[in-house]
Amino acid sequence: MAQATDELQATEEIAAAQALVDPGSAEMVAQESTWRRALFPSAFLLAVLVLWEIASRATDVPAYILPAPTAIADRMVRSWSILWDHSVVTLTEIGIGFAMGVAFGLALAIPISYSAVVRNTLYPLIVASQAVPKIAIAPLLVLWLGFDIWPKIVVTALMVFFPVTVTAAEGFSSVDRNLLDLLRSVHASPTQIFFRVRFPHALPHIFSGLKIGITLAVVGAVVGEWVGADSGLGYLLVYANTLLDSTLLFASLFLLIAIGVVLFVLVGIAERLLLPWHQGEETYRAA
Amino acid sequence: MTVSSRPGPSAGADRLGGEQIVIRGLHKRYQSGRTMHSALQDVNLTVRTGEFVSLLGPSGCGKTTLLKIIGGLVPRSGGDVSIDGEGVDRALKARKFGFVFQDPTLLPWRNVISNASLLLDITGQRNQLATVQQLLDVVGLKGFEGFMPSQLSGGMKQRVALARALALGPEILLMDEPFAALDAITRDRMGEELLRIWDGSRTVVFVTHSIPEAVLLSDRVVVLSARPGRIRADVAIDLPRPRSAETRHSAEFSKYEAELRAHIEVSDGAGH
Repeated sequence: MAQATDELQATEEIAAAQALVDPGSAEMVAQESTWRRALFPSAFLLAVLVLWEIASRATDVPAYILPAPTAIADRMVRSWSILWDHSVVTLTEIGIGFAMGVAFGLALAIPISYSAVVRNTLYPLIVASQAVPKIAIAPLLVLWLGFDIWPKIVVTALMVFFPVTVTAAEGFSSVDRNLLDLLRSVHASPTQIFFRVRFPHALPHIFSGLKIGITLAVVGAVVGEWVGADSGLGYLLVYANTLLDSTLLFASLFLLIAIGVVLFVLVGIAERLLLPWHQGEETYRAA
Repeated sequence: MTVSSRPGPSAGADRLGGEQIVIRGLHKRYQSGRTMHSALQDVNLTVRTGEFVSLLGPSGCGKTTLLKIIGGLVPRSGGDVSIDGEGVDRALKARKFGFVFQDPTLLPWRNVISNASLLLDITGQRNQLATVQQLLDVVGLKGFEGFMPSQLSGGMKQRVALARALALGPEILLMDEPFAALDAITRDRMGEELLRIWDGSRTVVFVTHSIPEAVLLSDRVVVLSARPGRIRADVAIDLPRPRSAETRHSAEFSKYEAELRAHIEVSDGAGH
């Protein structure tokens, strides 16, 4: 059975290599630039996994030190229902924590970009807050907020708000001076200026912050779960580690990576759908 | 600057109305660090209704500052500025000014017609779309209404900015080096286009550092010296209108160019 999986993987590897060389299939790939962009990292990842598989078969490193990729894949299939239940918990934490972090980050960016006093007072403190290891304050949050989902959400939100605040404040305040003069010349209200100009102008900046934020959100949720939880992929990681069940540990880890990548891609898709004009700008600049 | 095309303005001063912009003893000082800079010193200038006046000078001579003081965007340190006998603030409230800057400052998420109607949007006059459409025709953007700014050339973007400035029907057009960022050929063509669009119907104050541009467009060219900005010369350009690309080849045109260049060189020497 293990042999068959191995052979299957080897066939896939060959197919991937052929796709790279064969001009016909390469052309088909080129039609969809997203696929083309995904091709090289996927091929590289596959190569690493194959090497890993070969290495773990050639040597007798025990599974609790480094399980073979096929063993991890096998475990993912067999323990799917458990993994899925824990994924749902972690995804919930990521979702709520991300939303709260974004809301808080945007709310903070507005006074920072409008008032020099607020900026000078808060900015150094916000930067300092990022130097505090989240893992160090997570136990405190458990103490304050209890053992349920809230400490995880708060840790996640604390990770997310920073890049959002920085990018949004940058976006809100980088509007062309002359354009603001023009709007003031017709007595545009601050609300009009914010919603018609500052906010849309800041959106490409904010999306950069969201992309960083969504990957940090995954880290935040896991850190929150490490400190005190009875569910979630982060909890499962720790649990598997105490049992020296490295196969389960890697299965959870791979799932976390997959969640991170998928969420990042979703933010990228949202950006492309919401800001088609920004895409056009980039193309124009590149041309 | 009516939308319908009509015969060009006559050459003489009979086209011009009364004194519209009156500047007396204007000063502008900037504080930078601990030192005070004098950006403008004792500027006296009168612009009549319908007159096209260029402010010409080297960079840093305060011509943009002067333009922004006229338009009420920058406060003055001393002296008086009046528009039709009233303060600048009242003129601003009455929306007498239209602004065009060197950078078109279009909103990249709005298409051409939506950018041109931005100020109408802000002032709650959304029913003026026909006016904007007509203005786009006038500035030569018919058929480009749905284009995004990223799809336009520099000259076309500046046409949108001009339409946007005209949409509120301002009496006075304040233009701050609007064609300075364009290539030489486009710049010349835009100058000629501006003459056609302007049609002698409203007051224009036009900041530039290009001598031929100033000569081609203006009824009067005011030369400013640098640091502090002072008026060095006030030259009436008595070339017949309507002017066109051919005007550039006339002997008078070269004579005016030479005269202005001499004034600038003198003011440069005085500045050092």
